[in-house]
Amino acid sequence: MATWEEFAAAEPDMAKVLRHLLGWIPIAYLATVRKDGSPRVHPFVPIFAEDRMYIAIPEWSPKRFDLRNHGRFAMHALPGKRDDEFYMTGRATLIEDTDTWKLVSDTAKHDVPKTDDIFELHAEYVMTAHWENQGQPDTYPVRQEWRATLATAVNGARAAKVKAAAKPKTRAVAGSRVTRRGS
Amino acid sequence: MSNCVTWGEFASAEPDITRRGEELLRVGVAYIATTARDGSPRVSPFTPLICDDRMIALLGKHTAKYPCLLRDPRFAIHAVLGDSDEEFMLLGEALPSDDWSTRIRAAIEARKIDMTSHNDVAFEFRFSFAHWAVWHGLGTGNIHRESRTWRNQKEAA
Repeated sequence: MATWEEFAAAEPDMAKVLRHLLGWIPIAYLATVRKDGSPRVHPFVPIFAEDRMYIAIPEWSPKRFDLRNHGRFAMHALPGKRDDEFYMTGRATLIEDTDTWKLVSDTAKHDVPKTDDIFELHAEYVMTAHWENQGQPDTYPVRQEWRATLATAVNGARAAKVKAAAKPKTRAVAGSRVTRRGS
Repeated sequence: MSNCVTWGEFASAEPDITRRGEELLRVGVAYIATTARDGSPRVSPFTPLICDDRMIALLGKHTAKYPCLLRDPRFAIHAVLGDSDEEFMLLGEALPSDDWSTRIRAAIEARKIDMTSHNDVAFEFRFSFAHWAVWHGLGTGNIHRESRTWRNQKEAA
């Protein structure tokens, strides 16, 4: 897994796609999985604080339990003007450090009640896409995909403040990207 | 699919929610969550097509959601937020329904919104749960939420 900062450093152009889409409409959709294995999906507002990506979840929200349970998520931003897409999967880690919680809460552009859980979103896989020849019969997507590669690197001091809701102790130190054209 | 009902049956049971939901879904894009082989979640945009009493979607065979739904038909759908953060969410199951009459009905609706599709399979969506909500007084001191939830009675039984 990679923090947003690590992913953005590795793939700045792909990272810009999300920041651009959120600059237009600051909402994305988050999928989680319930205990019975069925999926759930809700809109959410990503929060960027010190180049890391977070989500604040109200205490009554069922997705809070999904993320506390196993942390797995998938997110998709709203499509852009050229149907630009940003998709990411990974794991969410619960923020238990009060300084980080306050930093995120203060950075958010919406109210974050003290009872909210805050999770950091770590990237495992990212896909961006845009469509060529839009509106034409021969329209096709150009996709870029990035996957974190896992290594047992020592977590940084800041990462150590974050307790994983689930397992991952490993951390991405590099990734691989491919570009695909066509469906 | 014994605990799920068609869009038409859902509409008969909850006409108000259905009417609001249909308006949000008709913008041409909604988000669908499925589960991958390893049990992790997936989410992607798709185009639901309301064909009278059925909800159909033409899902590309090359998309991630196609094998996900073939393996596990359970889905969650969330419409794009409307004015006043109006939201509409559905749970249920989707199965291939790729007969010629279904495809024609889907194609008629797809044509209305200039949707193009190829190498796809028609899936019919059926429902066990729906939730609709809207916020009143956004940006004022008197903010409050109006919401309604529907569960298929067969599921609750």
